[in-house]
This record gives sequence, structure tokens and C-alpha cells, in this order.
Amino acid sequence: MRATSGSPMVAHFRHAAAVLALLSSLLGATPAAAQRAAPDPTGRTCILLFMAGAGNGSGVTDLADLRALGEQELTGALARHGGAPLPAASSLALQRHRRIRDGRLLPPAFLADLDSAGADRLLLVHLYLGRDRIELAGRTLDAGTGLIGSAATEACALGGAAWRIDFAIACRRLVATLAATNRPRSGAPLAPLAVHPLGFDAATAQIATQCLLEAALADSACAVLDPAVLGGALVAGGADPRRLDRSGLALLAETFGAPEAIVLEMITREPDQAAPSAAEEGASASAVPWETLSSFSLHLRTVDTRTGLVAAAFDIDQDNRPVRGWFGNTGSSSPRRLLAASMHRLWEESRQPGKVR
Amino acid sequence: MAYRREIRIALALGLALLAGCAPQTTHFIHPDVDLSFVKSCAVVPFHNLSADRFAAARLQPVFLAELLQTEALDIVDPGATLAACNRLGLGSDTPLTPEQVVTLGEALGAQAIFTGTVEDYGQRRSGGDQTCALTASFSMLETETGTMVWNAQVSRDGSSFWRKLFGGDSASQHEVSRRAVRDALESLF
Repeated sequence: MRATSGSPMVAHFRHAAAVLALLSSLLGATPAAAQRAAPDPTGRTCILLFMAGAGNGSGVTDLADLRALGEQELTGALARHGGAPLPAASSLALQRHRRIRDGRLLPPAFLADLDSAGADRLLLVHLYLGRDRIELAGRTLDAGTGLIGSAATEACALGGAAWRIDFAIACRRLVATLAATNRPRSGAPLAPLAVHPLGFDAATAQIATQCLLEAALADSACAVLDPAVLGGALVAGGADPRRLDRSGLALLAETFGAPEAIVLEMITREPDQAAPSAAEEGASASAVPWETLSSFSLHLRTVDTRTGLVAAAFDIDQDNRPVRGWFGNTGSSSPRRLLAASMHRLWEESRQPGKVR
Repeated sequence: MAYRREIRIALALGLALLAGCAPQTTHFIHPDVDLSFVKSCAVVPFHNLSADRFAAARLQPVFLAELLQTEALDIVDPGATLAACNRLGLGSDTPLTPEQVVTLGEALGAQAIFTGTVEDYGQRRSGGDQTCALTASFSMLETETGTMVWNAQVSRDGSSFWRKLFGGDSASQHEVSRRAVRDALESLF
């Protein structure tokens, strides 16, 4: 039987050819990064996702579902960028075994377990669920050395029915930014400790710590150690990261080779601010929620880890009053933006020569 | 003649205004102590007598930064100082006894201990305006015998002659604190 141009067989072939052409063009349209990315043979990446600030009134009732969606998107995005994620079940088992609940302290035993499980990198992400938005703060770090590769923040709006799509896109953007800004760093490592808050809640302190790390990574090519790794090592060594004594400083010098520790306090300027019963304990449920930020002051000091002496001290004062612009318009910055701007300013000042600014 | 008298009156009024805005600092330095022997020091947490519960926590790092700026002394990290205070059972609400000063000095390897007390901190009404104000006292105790070798009480606010004359906001609380501490330390170094 001959096939003519008008026969059904020819039409069938034409349809098949069209579908093949469409498929090939679709394959060609996959992101370049995904095509380039080949699984990294050197080791796996453990994804740690923590809900740091779950605000009331967000409308998201199923937090477990949100977390699962976040982990799924982060895993997929990491794989597309050449990473080899550690299976979620293994990661969860390790977290449970070492009681890693909020990612603020990563003890050496947990990092050793990761090494045994074949994971040499960590993707640490904190998810802040607000009334009208979700913020994702992430950083990648080397589980063996504790050095940070990159740090970035993404946000998405929570309004509308399509917030899950926005959230998924934000997760992918976060991983893409982290992959793009990851670069080798050299020199004596900086050892910033987690920000110590007075009059602010734990989530705000974590946001401030993230802003500090982003400022440090953006400003210099120096290697930066992760505060969670430092805190975990200090606690395991019997030292209190908030009251760093000589033994704690010596541990930082010997274990991480850090010549200086960077200590930062964030203190509210509200005189009537509800505060923890023991002020030095820092975070409390009665303190300011992370979505609203009162005026504050930041006090940074660098401490010589060998002598235990203060090498330099810097502070800045930050107002958070609405700014009145032209035609009576008032504008105010989001807490994260305000914190990031203050932290960059403080960091830049601290890099200038001189002891005090 | 009348012109000169007007100038004198204006000058007198100006001086009176300036005097009204001037910071008030009183200080004491022990006559029998040679401060040149003191090389290292520690700053213990300040006492707070003001209504603002974080006033002492805010003033202490300002004091530390200003003390560091003098480049006169090595300063033990406040974290280590706090850890030593906790270990020795020293609270920030009670003044240190000479014995405690000696013990703390030995623990920290410091030759002097600085203490501070915030007496008044926050907004104050000056004339018709609100202004930021601070009243605080600072002491330096040498750690061989626990003796007080320096004490200064300073009171400052955010108003100024030019602000009174032309208007304008008060200096910020941070700026007032910084100036007050600087005034106090100028009596020591």
C-alpha cells in the first residue's frame, strides 16, 4: 500500500514528527544550569530546614505540609545545581539522634555523624512564617571545617491562592543564589558568634545573625566560620558562647585557627520593652516578634582569642521610626531590610583601621 | 555707652545659657595611687537604678568603646568578666567588696576593675522640650587591695545652646551617653 500525501498514514507520521520536534525543543529549553549540573561525586549535602518564626494569623495551618514542600523544593533545586542531597530520612534520623532542633547549635558529634553518612556539606535554611509573607534565610557550609560557602535570603508573599507556587519559586531562587555566590575564600578565618539579643526574640536574633554573615561574606574575601558550628563546639567544650571565657577563646583558636572572635549584641531602645526575667538569657516568648522591630543599637567587638583582650569595639544606633517623605508620605523599612542595612554599615565601619568607631 | 551695655548684657545672657547646657562632672582621684602602673583592666556589668531596664546593658558597651579609644589600658573581654563573676557568685546588683575585687582581679589577670551605675537614663523635660539625658557614675578599683582609685559622676542631656536658640531635636540617647562617658574618662586620662 502506498502512502499518499493525503492518506491517514502520512497524517499520522506528520503528527509523530511534530510531537518529536516539540519534545526536542522542550528538552532544549531546560535550564542551562540543569544541563551542566552533574552530580558531585565528592560528597552529599545534608539539607536542614527549620521553622524559626511561625507567626499567628498567617493562614497556613498545616506547618508540616509547608515544611515538606520546602524540603522537597530545596532537594530538587539542589539536585538541579549539581548537588547530591542526603536522603531526607537519613538527615532526619541524624537530627533526632543528636537532638538538632533549631539549627542554632551544630555540635561536633552531629558533624561527625554527617561525615560518616557521606555528607560533607550542609544546606542550612531557616523559614520565617509571617502574617503576610514567608522569608527563607539559607547558607551553605562545609561540615568538616565549619566554613560558610555562601549565605542568602529570599522572600515570597503569602497572599492569594498561588502562594505555594511562590514559595516553591523562592526555594529554588534561594538555592540558585547560594550556588552562584559560592566562591573559595582564603586567609585566617573570621569567627562571628551568634548575635546576642536583649529585648528581642530568638527569631530576630537569628535574622540578625544571618544579616551579619551576609555582610561579612559580601565585604571581604576572608573565610567565615559558621556561628552554629562555633556555638556547638563551644557548648560541647563546656564553654558558654554568650560568656566566652579564656578556655572558650582558646578552643576557637586551637580548633578553628581563628585569631579573633566577633561578638555582637543587639539591644532594644524601648525602655518599656518586655524582657526575659534574666536579661542575659536573651530570647523569650514575651519579647518583640520578628515581624515588628523596635529601634535598637548594635555593639560589635572583636576579641583576640589568644590574649582574651578586646581588640576593637564599634557600635551604631538605629532608629526605626517611619520616615516622612515628600507630600506627607511616610515609609518604613521591613525589619530584615533595616537589620541588613545596619549590619552592613557596622561591618564596613569595623573593617576600617582604628580601634573604635 | 548704651551700646556697650547691651553687648555686655547679651554676653552675660549667652554665658548663662551656655552654663545651663554644660555637662556636670564631678570626680575624685586617689592621691596615693600611681595609675601608670595599671596596664590591664576589666569592666564588670553596670548597676541600673533607672526606669529603663536595659540602660546599663546599653551604657556598658559605650563605656567599653570609649575606654578602648583612650588606648591607655588593655581590656579583658566582658564575656570572660561575666563568666568570672558568675563563677565567683558576684551579682551585678550589689557593690563589690574589696576582697571580691582582689579575687576578681586575680581570676581575670586584671590590675583594675571598672564599675558603673546608671542613675537616670531616658527622656527629661528641659524648658518646654523633651531631651535625652543621662546621669551615671563610674569607678575604678585597683585589684591589689580593692581600693577605689577613681570615681566620676556625670550628668548630661541632649540640649545645647544652639538647639535652644534655633530649635531642633535633642541629641540621641546614644550620643548623649557617648559624650557623658567621654567627659567622665577625660577626668581620668
